[in-house]
Amino acid sequence: MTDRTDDRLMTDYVGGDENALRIIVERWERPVFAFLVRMLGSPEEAEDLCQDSFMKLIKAADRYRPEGKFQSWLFRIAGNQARSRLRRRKILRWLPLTDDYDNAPARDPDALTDLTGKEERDLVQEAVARLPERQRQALVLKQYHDLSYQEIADTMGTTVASVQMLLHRGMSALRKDLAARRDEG
Amino acid sequence: MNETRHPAGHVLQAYHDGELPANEDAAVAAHCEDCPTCRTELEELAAMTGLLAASPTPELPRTVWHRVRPGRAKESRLRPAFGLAACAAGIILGFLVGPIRIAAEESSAESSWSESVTVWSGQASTSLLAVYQTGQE
Repeated sequence: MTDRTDDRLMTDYVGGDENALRIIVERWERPVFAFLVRMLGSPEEAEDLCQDSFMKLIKAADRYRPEGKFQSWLFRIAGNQARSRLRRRKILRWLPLTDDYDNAPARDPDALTDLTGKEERDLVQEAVARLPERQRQALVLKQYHDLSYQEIADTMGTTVASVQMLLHRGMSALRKDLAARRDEG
Repeated sequence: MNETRHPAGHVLQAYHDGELPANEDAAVAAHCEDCPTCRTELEELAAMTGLLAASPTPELPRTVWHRVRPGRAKESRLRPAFGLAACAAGIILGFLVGPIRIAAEESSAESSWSESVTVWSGQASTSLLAVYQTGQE
């Protein structure tokens, strides 16, 4: 029964259904991993933290309240993992992205029409990686995971107004960064 | 909202993302109809969104399920306890076996020591001699 909602699966898991947990992990491991790669710039670290995020989910499962906010809750766990790792690494600026990431398939091939190819995609990835951590988190959750402003606010423990500002500043910074890089090129 | 009074950047961003309340959304839409500056801004936001969407999605190389399933979590919680037990056993074993080995080694210790000193002093004197001879030349 893979059509069970996330809330239902969490309730079933807390009630002793281990298969419900398996469905949750298999449903969410790829989005969580992609989010962590974009936050950290390292697929290896992202894989470790993806695992850790689900371990945290298991430990906190009893405290989860099924109110239809599972995605925000899970991304909050993963975001906390990413933030503590970034704090540990003290990475505040540029994060190099590896070939594994570069070779992954594009999400929307039609959107490549305006690009000059891999070089431009690399520029975009690097510009995202250079954003301040909270701007990057808000932007990644919006652009790649399609969360609403309210869901991003729930995930990041902030207000919708703050999310608006983070996204606006993040997008402005990206545009300036890319314009500067193109001028250099 | 007229052409000269543009919406703030974060409001335009929220309009682009479809996140404004209905009344505010309508006001911004009306403004943008007559404002080429804001229309250009919206086009640039759309282009930036397209660039971001074109970025490849990182692919998880293998499922993490086998590493997070509850049984595995319990196993990993047991590991520290096993580690502590192994350390304690090692210390106890060290106390029991140590004196026996020391007693066995004591008998041969003196001869081993004197052999080592002889070998070392032989090597040292050979080296000193070589240095002295080089200096003489």
